Amino acid sequence: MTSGPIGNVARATLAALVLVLGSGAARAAEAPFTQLMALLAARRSGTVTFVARTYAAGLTRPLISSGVLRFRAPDHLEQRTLKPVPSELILDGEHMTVRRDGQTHQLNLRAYPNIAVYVDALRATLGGHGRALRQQFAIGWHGTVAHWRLTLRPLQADAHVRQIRLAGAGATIERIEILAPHGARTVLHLSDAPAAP
Amino acid sequence: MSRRAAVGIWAALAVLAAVLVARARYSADLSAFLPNAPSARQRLLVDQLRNGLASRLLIVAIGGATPETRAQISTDLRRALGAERRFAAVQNGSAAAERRDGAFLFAHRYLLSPDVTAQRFTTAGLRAAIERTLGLLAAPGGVLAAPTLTHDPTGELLAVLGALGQGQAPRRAGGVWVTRSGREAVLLLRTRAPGSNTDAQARAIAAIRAAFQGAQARAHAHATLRLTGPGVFAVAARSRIKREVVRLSLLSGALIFVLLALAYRSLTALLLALVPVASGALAGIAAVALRFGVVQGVTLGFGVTLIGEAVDYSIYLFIQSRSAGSAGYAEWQRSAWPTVRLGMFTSICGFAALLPSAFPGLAQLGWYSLTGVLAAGLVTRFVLPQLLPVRFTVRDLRPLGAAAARLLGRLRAARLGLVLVALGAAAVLYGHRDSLWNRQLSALSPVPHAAQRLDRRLRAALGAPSGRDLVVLSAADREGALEAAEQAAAPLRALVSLGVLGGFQSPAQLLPSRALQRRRQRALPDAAVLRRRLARALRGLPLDPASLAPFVAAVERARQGAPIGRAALAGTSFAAALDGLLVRAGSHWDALLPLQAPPGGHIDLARVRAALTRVPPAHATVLNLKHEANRLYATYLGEAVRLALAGLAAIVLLLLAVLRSALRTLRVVLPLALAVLTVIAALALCGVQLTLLHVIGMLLIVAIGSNYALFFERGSAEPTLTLASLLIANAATVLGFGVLAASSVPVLRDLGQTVAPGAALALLYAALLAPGAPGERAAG
Repeated sequence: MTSGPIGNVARATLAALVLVLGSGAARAAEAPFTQLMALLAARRSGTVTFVARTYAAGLTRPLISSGVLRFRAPDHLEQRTLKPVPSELILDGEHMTVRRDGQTHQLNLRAYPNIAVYVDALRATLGGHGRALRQQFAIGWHGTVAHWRLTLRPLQADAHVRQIRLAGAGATIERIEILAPHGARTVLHLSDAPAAP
Repeated sequence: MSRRAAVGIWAALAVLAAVLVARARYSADLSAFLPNAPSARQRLLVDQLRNGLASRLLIVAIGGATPETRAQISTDLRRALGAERRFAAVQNGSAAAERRDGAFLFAHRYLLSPDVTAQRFTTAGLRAAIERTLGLLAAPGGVLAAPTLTHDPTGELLAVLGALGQGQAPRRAGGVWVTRSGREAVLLLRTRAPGSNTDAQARAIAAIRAAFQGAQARAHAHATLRLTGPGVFAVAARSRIKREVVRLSLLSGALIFVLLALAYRSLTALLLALVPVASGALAGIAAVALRFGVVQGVTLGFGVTLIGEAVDYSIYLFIQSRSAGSAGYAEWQRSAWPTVRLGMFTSICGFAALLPSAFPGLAQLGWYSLTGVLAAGLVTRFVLPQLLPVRFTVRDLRPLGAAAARLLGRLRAARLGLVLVALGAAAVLYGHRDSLWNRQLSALSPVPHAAQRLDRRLRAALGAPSGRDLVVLSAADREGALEAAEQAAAPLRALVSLGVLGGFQSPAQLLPSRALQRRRQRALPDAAVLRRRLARALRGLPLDPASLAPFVAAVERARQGAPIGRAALAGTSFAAALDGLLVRAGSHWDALLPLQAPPGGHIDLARVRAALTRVPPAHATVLNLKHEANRLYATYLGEAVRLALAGLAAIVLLLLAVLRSALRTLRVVLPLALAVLTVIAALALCGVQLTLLHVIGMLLIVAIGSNYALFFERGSAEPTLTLASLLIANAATVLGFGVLAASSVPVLRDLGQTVAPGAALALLYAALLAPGAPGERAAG
């Protein structure tokens, strides 16, 4: 790379700008977050496919599963795992349906605070509810609206979920990562769903 | 009997009775509404209602303020009340409590899991279990279980949780349990004292209120506290019954006082009128204390009715005596006393019919009224005359009697209309024949509907056992009861998978019998064998056998350790649950297995019974508490009807024996029967369903009304005065029962609303159906 006088001037200018704007940095970080939330809120529903990799102590290679993730504002969320073992997690408001091993369980989300943390994070992000996110999580923001990363740390001290990380481009979420204690984590890579699920 | 002797004996007995009354034990709890249960199954039922797990449950709801403040107060309450010995358990869904419970289940998973069998720990069994666990790990949210993978690769904790049926867990917000709407924080408390110990329940409730005040002050907030549970109901009912008994007694006493003041216009007469009433009440309470040991609060409430009856005797004496002092009395004794005496004995027949009742409240009412009426009658006959001042006389009530006679004379013209009344009433009863009776025990419950609704809502929010459907397994000892519960589990699980049951709880899920724990220990392989099998089982699976050292160590610990006992549950919420599900019942032990209905359905108990008949060797009883309670109540409703009929028969026989004429007896009984018929029909028309107390009310209409009918049938030397005295006596009775009808305690209200109009109608009908116009017939 050339590093001529022009480059130096540019760097100095940038440094000056940073100094000038420094006091407003925190607010500057708010603005893109709010923008992103508005962008996400505008998307009322969406269906994507996911590939999930789960890492945990004792596993010699990650467990891979795949399926479909679907959201419809305000509060319908479903995660259908198709492979390797079919299972479903369907949420409507606080009503949670779990299907697994040919059995269906109708449960109340609020009775399962750990799953609730994950579901709340996902639904509030997908619905663009910035205020709801702030009530439950300490939010870290990185990047720009075009390429962003969010880290959500539950404010509730005894949550099993250590952190939820989301990354995306604009209104498209590309990656969801759930961090559990002792280094266990699941990473979901999302991509646009084929026309018919 | 000499004058002095009568007064002396009376005074001595009054002092004795007063001592007995002062020293008697009084109870205003709900036991008067719970019948004595003759059969074993009914004893079990009543014992469950009085002392069972469900009877010890208190639910606390904190409303108002902010969600954070409610959660803070909930946490504060849990800490404060959890330290008190009177509570066996205080739960608010806190994470710490959940962790303790989880730690217990996790630590003893190999002794608790229904999946621990020798087959599960073979190479193939291990592989299948581990594959399933890995599948769950990859499912949504499954990663949260990942940290325990190397300790529990076969998913034993999940198996334990599955058996416990965690699906009914309450909602949570801010780390504590909340109601469905989320607007109240809820706590579940279990008292050590049974629900039937009303004093202990009252102290527990006071402790909760005090702790709430403290927590509220510390939170600097204004919140609301609501409580429910059998103990709350019992305490509220007791204070209500106490309040009502005092209020109703004062009110009816005051009303009758005013009535007599208007009638007599003489303070002396008023005070003298009190003598038989007070003597009767004293004698009645003393007699109840002697016979039953405990005097029920409701008995005193019913006792209001005694005032109405006992005051009649002095009314007859004072009003019907035409000459002043003892001369008038001697005459009255000759002409009227035989009629009063016969009326007294018919009343006694009616009250005596209640004595065999299995409802303690009724038996006490019968005994109290019987002795009270007898005492009042005897005092009127033997003592009151001795106390009369020489020139004693009350206002001449002939004008009142004459006016009434004129009115009756006009009404008599239309007395054929009574046939229409009878036919109309019969038609109404026929039309309402299907809805005439209320067959629910809850009809007698003094718990207001609003409180019952709050209770249902909070119970639903907590998934607290309604305790309605139960399997009870009895055995000679604790272990036997646990083993019986284990044997019942397989057929019950089969019923769950068939959808007959939604689920069930069992003490053996929390503490398996020693025998089963030993069997599970024997199913576990030793460490070397387990390692070998794991190595083979994990071939091709993405799990490193070396990482499973914690699993191998945990299995080895479980295999070699001693079986767990009740002590292992200390500090968990399961301890209190176990104590409620595994109870000593006299010389044997009962395991209680509460059943859950399938979603949106009812439990077919016949199928549950059929499934359990194949369980050896325990004695299984399947109960629906509400059902059983209603059946028991139906038994007692039937009993009340039989007792009432027996009382009626006794009255008729007595009349036949004394009057020596079927026709004359019919003349006495006919107006009374008509009065009963009219009252029931009117109640049915007003939409009131008849309870046991209405039946008793009908008996009392006959017992009390017979007095009036007898006067008309036997006639009197001074008909106008007699009619006046009957009017006053009737008014006193109607006032006494009318006040009861205004009570908010259902048993008192039902009795009042039957007898007050019934007594009035009995007098009216008796007057209308009398052989001649009032005042026409000479003394009999």
